[in-house]
Formats: sequence, structure tokens, C-alpha cells
Amino acid sequence: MYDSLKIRGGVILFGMGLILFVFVLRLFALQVLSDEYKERANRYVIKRKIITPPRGKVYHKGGEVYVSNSPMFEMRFTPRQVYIPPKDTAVLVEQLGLSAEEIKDIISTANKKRDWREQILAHYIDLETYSILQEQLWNCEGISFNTINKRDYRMKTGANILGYISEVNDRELKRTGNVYRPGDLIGRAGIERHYDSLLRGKTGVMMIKKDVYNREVGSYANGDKDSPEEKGLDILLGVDTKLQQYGEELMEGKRGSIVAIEPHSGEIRAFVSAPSYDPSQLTGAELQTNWRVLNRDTTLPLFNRPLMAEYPPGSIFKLPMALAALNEGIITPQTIYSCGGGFRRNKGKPGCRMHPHPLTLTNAIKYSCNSYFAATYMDYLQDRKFDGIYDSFESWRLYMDKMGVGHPLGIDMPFEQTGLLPTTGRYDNEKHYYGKNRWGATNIISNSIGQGEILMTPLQMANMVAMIANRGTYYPPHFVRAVKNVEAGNDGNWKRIKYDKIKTGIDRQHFEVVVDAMEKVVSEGTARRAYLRDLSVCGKTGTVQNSGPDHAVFVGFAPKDRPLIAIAVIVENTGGGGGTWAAPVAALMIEKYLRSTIEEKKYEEARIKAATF
Amino acid sequence: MSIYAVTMDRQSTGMLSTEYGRQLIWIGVSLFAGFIIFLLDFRIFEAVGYFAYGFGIFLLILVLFIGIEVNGAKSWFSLGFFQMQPSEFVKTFTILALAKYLSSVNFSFKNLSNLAIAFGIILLPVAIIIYQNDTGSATVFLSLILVLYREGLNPILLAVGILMAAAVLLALGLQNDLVVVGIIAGLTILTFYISNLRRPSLRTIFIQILLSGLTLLVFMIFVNLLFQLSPEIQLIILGSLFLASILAYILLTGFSEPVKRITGYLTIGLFFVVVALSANYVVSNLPTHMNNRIMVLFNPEIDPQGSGYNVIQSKIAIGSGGITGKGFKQGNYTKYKFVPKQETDFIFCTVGEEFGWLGSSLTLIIYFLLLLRIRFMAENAKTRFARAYGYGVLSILFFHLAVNVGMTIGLVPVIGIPLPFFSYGGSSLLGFTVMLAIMLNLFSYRKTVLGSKM
Repeated sequence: MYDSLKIRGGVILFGMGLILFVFVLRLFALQVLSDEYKERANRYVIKRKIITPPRGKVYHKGGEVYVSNSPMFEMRFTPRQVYIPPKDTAVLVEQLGLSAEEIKDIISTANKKRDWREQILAHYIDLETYSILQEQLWNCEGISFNTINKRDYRMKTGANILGYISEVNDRELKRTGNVYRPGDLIGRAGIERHYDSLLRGKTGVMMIKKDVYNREVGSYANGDKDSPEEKGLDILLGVDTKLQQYGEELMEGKRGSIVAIEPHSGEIRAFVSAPSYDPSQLTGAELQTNWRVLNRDTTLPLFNRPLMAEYPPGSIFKLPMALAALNEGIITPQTIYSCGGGFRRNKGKPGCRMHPHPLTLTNAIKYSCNSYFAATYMDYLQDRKFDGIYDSFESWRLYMDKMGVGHPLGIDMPFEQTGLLPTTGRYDNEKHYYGKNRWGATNIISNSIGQGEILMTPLQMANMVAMIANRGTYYPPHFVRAVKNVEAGNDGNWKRIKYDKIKTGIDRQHFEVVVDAMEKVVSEGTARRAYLRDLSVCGKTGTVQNSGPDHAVFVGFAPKDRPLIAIAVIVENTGGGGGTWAAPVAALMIEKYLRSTIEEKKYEEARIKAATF
Repeated sequence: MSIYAVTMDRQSTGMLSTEYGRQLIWIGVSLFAGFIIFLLDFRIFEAVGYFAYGFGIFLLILVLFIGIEVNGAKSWFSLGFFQMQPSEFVKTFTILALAKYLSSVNFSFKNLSNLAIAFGIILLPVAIIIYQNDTGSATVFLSLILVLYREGLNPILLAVGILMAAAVLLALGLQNDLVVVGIIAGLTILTFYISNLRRPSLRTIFIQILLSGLTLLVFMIFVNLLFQLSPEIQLIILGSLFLASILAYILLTGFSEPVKRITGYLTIGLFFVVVALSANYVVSNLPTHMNNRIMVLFNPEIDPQGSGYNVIQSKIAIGSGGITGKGFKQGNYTKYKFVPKQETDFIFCTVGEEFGWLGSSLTLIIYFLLLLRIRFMAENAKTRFARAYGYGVLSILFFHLAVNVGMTIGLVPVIGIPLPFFSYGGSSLLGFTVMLAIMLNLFSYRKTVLGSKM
């Protein structure tokens, strides 16, 4: 037994020897018999060359270029190969404004990583410096130049829409796998972020032959192994840059938002966030410094208010309240409630202003009567046909949900906030609210006038009024209308993006009642400053209570019968007065959009532009 | 001691062609560690076997939590000024534990649970290291099956293992690389030869080789034809052939020995064709990066931008060396650092380019002499523990050598494991030095053991 096992030791060694013998033969074949490898090594080596394609351009509604690229260069180095002689370091110091220590530092840290992938030595080198460097740095090893896309903004408007791009970080590199290479640019906010995959195109890889002096001598395998770069796709926005710019001018010195939507397509025409910034501030070499300054600014210019700020909607919420109650048969256009300065059935809360009463729905909207809607809400929640408050609340909640309250609308922009539409579960919470079966209509009566737990973003407000303008349907609001058709090449036709119509299921006849009332609000009610001749503007004002001075709110659309624009305006901390501060802004925007010049509202324009809050 | 001289000579060669002072420090540390180990009592190693193994497993698990990631594998400890890879030391610990288990009094290969534990000792670190995403280091442990074989494992198990590996390679590379087929043919013949070896006579050996070679040839042609058919037809043909051959094997009991043997081989062969086919399907369905690494072995030119890049560059570097090489530090290909990882995993390129075929062959021969020496020491050891340990060192060293050199010349998939005593890297050098020092220690106490009536 022992002896037969001992042979196995020999067998093992014999096998090992055999394999090593095969290796020796293979080496003989490679090194002695074949000339191929020798020639290849003497003539050239194969190197990868990365080609960054131009990023897709952005066009605005007028069909002209909004954002394009100005070509710049970056200097990359391969940590394993890099060698910069002192003379060339001096050139770099002179041309790039880096100190010799910095250069040494970048290279030595990278060397420690012992990495084979290229890393960045210097960004945003302009064409002139690039050609000087190209000429003088021929002694360096492991250095390459790469074109990069610095965004070129043709207009100083719409920074919050466009967003910005910057260098991809380590975490994103890891998360996205092989999509990006170190040094690639990635969309950080806005359209640039949402459409990054379309805009960035595809990085190309070229295999080139280099001789032993690191000079390019041609392409490898006739370029068969290259993967060509693909240009980024161009996109066409529905944004009217003139309107956008005008909105930004109106909002100067104030904080707030304007959102203008074309109701029959859902395209966003204006998306003003005030205060804002010049988009070209966040490009090129100054991006980091400027971003830090903007980020520290207490007025939050980087905060995309129309999308991310959540406010209690205030009196504009009476519109969906009326629609839900009409459709559910709780009230009819003829229903009359009394007021008398407050909601009597709940100890005068919520309070109300003085106005003629008792009153019908039309007048209640016109005068923005709190008692009327509190009564409507109470009757809704306590109606016999429901099985208790949980059932009636759910029914009401479903209407609000369908009208686009309390959920993201799926806009083509990152970081959309949801707003808030309370659930029964919220009120069941004992710690912060009431507890299970321990709340009723009176506890949540403030919801009826948009002051309770409900929160909406300006985008949701605009979408809601667009839905009313459409008499019960809406398209998801969106910025991008079309993308350049890929099949036809990048000079091909625009390919429209399809959006599906969303139906609320509320009967069209109820909208006519509410829309008639909204017209009266503008012609003889709280929003007379929004009146425009022959344009039959319909709207609703609101005043939003909050911890600081009240915000002014206005939502509206025009013209009444063939709506071309729906708009929401919110101006923060005006101390109230949706009719005084928000309605005229909306009127100016509507006039600008429909008549392209301001004549009728010249006086309001001067007054609004002069105001600061 | 001669081994030590040999290894030191190799180390210095490796050192001079790279220029890292850091490695010098590691050499000092390794020598010191080796010296300390040399001073220890030989019985210590057997005594601490299980404890060291447990400690090693603990380190492997610990590194999952507090380790750092290098090249996508979370297998390194960072100790401030230097980094350490515990799997390098776990190799030694695993050999110690395995050797101790195999040399325990009640151990028998016929006992299934004993066998399972022996395999378990090998496979536990494999599992953890694969989880660290360091598949390369994990495969190294599999070579310890050779120790089991030497100590009495049923050769059929080894044969099946090797043949399955061979069949997989065959299936993937048949159309492209005749050299691979050659290696597999050699391996298969060898396996059949050893698995039937009871009372070896020249005649039997000759017949075995002839028969297995013949069978292999038939299968190569068969498999080649088979791959050109559609998957459904492949399955039908295979299934019926498999059944037919089993039937034939049973029915042919009365026939002469060679006929029966051929049918037996056919049955086994068919089994491997099934394995090969399924491997082909599995590989084509693997995630792209894994698939690439394997397929690139057979034709690096399919992907010169990605996985094939290393292999092409490495082959060019070695191929440009010629018979005598370009001379020390004259390799312009490696000097300009065109081969990725050329200080670590692809260090053999430098040897190939600068010292040519003679130099690289000589290197392989010196390694083989080292292997011969280890085997000699192991066979002359008087305890089963020492012998098993020796074979463990032998297997691990050889596996590193074969895979590392094999991948630089495009015979083995690119698996990131270092070339012992050559590659840059402290953990690896220290690990191998400790491994050999223990070996030398056990060997130098051989006389003492004899004296103490063991």
C-alpha cells in the first residue's frame, strides 16, 4: 500500500514536469519560431485612445439653440506610465497656472494607487493653450489630451431648468459600472441630469499603433476593433425662453415661483424659480468655486422652488373642493350656505371676511368664502351615503389624488417633491394627531380652505389649473417635446415624445360652473388686477399662512374657451394679497405670452418690478 | 539550505528588474521571519495546526468587515504604512491543518465523513475568499486535492475532476487553439494511465496510452462535428449514444478485455462530452465580463480593447524576446510599461522579453528543480504530517507557477495570482517564505525524529 502510494508522488511530479515542458514548448513557439510578435513589438504597440463625443445640444421652443458646447481640452495621464521631465513641468506651470508642487502631488498620489486607468491632470484647457502644450510636451510619457464639453449657454435664463454638468465622482463610477470613465461629465441637476443618457452619447475607443517613441503610427487592424463614438442626442424643449426670461425679470428681488403650462399638451412654457443664477456660472474651471458660493447663499438660488418648495395651497384649493363636491352630488350650483364672518357650525372657525351672504357656489368662489367651503367639506364628510368618516374621507382623498394633489406628476426633471395629501392613517397617529376613531370633520375642517395638512408644489398648482382649463384632463407636465431622430442621423427630424392623457373622471358640466366663477373672480372678484381685455382670464387668488409673512398665490388660465396657457404664481412673504402681488404677475405673463408685448399692463409691470420682499 | 539559496537567487533577479526599495524591506522582513521559524521546535507546527487554521479563517472573515478593496476584491488589511493580504498566509495554515488531519490516527480515506472533513478544510477558505471577490486566490486552494491524492484518495475522483476541467476547456477552445487540445490530450492520457496503475508493466502502460489516446481522438472528431449541429439534435444524439454505450458496456461482459475497455472509455467520454456541452452553454450565458475572460483565452484578438489587452500585450512582450532576449533592462516593451500589472501578475513578461527563450526556460527549470527538491524532502519525511505538509507546499507552489506563467503565454485564463518569489508584493513573498521555512524546519529535524523512536 505504502509503495503504491509512493508512486503517486512521482506521478504528480511527472504531471507537473509535463505541463512545464508544454510551457517551454509554447515559449519556443512564441519566442523562436514566430516572427509575428517580434515584429509587432519592434514596429508598434497598441494603445487605447478615448474619444469623447460632443454632448447633445438643447433647443428651445423657438427652434433655436439654447445650449451648445464650446470645445475645450483636458490633460490626462496614466499613473503607470507618467513621466514629466523638469523642463516640461516648467511649461505646465507656466501654461496651466498650477504650481510645480501641485503637479508633483497629483502624480505621486495617483502613482500610489498603481493604476492603469487614465486620470485627470488639468481641466478646461482652451484651444490656444492646448496647441502650445501639444507642441512642447513631446518629451513626456503617459500624457494624453482629450476633448471635453464645456457647456455654452446662449441665454442667461432658465438655469433651474437646465441644471449643470460636472465631473463624475467615485461613487457614481462604481454605481454605474462601465458607463462613465473617470473625468467624464455627468448631468447633476435639471434636464442635464434627467436626459443624461441621451445627451452624453457614447464614448468611442480607438485602437492605435504607437512606435517605441510613443508616436502614433496608424490604426490597429484597420480600425476593425474600434468602437466609434456616438454623438449625444439633441433635445427640443417646449420652454419659451422669452417668457421664461420675462418671468425671471418680474421676480427679481423676490422669492417665489412661476409655472406656465400649455394645457392641451402639458408642455411647460416657463418655470421660474426666484432667485436664480446665470447658468454659465456653473461651467468650466469656476464651477466648484461658484457652486460653493451659490450653495451658501441664504436665499437658496440652487433650490428649484417650482419643483421642490411645498406650500399649503390656501384658497386656490377651493377649486378642487368645489369640483369634488359637485361631482359627488354633495352640493349643486344652486346650494346656498350662510357665512356671517365665520363658519358658525364650528364655533366660527375658520373665520371669513365680510361679504354678502348667504351665497351660492359662484359667489363663494368669487368672494373666496371660507364658511361656504367648510360647510361643503363638513357635509361631504358626514354624508349618509358614506359608511362613516373613514369612507367619506377616502372618497374625498381619491378625488384630490386624481386631480394631481399629493403625488409626483412624473415631470422629466429629478428631485420632484410629492407635496402632501393626508391619509386617514396620519390622523390615526396618536402621538402627533388624534388616534384611531378619535377624529371627525371638525378636526380637519382647515383642509377645505387649503390650510390643513395639505401641501402642494407650484408645479402641482399649475398642473391643477391646467386640468381645470382642460375641463377634467391633463398631460403629465414636461419640458422636452422632442428628441432628434436617431435612425435618420443627428441631422434628422425631431421625434416627438408621446405623453398619455390622464383623466380625472369628473363630469365636464361641473367644470363649466367652476370656470364661470373663476372668470368672475378676475372680472369682478379678488383678482381684478389679472383682467385682460378680450382674453377672458379665469383665475383664483390665495393667501398662504405660514410661519413668516403670508405668501401671495394666484392660479389661472386664458382664454376661457380655448385655453392657451395655464399659470401658477407664488410670491413668498408679501404679507398676503394674492390679488395684489400674484395676480398681476400672472396677467403680465399671459399678456407677454399671448400678445408678446406689454401694453395693457404697463402700469402693473413697473409696480411689480419695483417691489421687493 | 540549498533551496533557500535557490529561492534567494530568484528573488534578487526579480528585484533587480524592478526598482522598488519597498520590496527590499519585505525581503528583510521575510528573511527575519524565516529565521525565527527556523529556530522553533518542529513539533510546534503540528501542535498549532488547527489553531492557526482557525485564526486564518477568523482573519478572512474579519477582512470582509474592516478590509479595503483593491482591484475589486475586498481582501486586504490596511495597516497604515503597508497593506497585507491574509489569504497569502491562510494557504500555509490550511496546509498545516490538512496535514494534521490526514496524519491523525483514526483518519481513513474509506470513511466518508473523514473524507468530507478533509475536503471541508480545503473548501471553507475557498468559499470565504470567493465571497471576497478574489476568485483567483480561491482557486489556489483547490490544488491541495493533490495532497489528498498522494495520501490515498481514490484516483478516480482526481481523474474525474481533471477530466471535467479538461472537457470544459476542450469545449470552449476546440476550434481555436490546438495547443490547448494537446495539453488536454496529454492530461487525459496521463489520468487514465495513473488511474489504472496497479501492477505496472511496460506492456499495460503502452496499451493504456494507446487506448486512451485512440478514444480521445474519436471524441475530438466527434465533438467537433457535434458543435456544428443545432442544440436539439446535439441533445438527441448525445442521449441515445449515452444510453447505447451503457447498454453495450453491460451486454459486452463476455467479450475480450480491450473491447470492454474501449466501451467503458466511450461511456466515460460521453459523460465528459455532456459536461463540455453544458460548460459551453453556461459560459455563453455568463455575465459578459466573466465570459470575456474565459473566451479571450482562446482568441485574445476578439477583444483587444478589454480582456484581451493584457494577454496580447504580454504575448508581444514575451514573443519579442527571441532566443536570448534583449538583455537586462533592455526590454523596451516592458520599459515603456505597455503590459498592465507587469510588476505583479505579469512579471514573467519581463523575464521573457529581457532574457528570451533560454532565460525563461531556465527559470522554469529552476522552479522545477525546486519542486523536485520539495518532493524529495516530502518523500523522505518520517512523519505523515511532514510529508502531507511537503506535498501541500508542492501543490500550491506549482499551481501559482503554472497559472501565472500559463496566463502570460495565453494558455490559462487571466487569474490574478502572483509568481512565487518573483512578483512585487510583500504578503505574497512573506507568505511563501514562511511556507518554505516551515518545510525546511520539519526537514532539518528529521534526524531527531528518527532518534526519538517515532
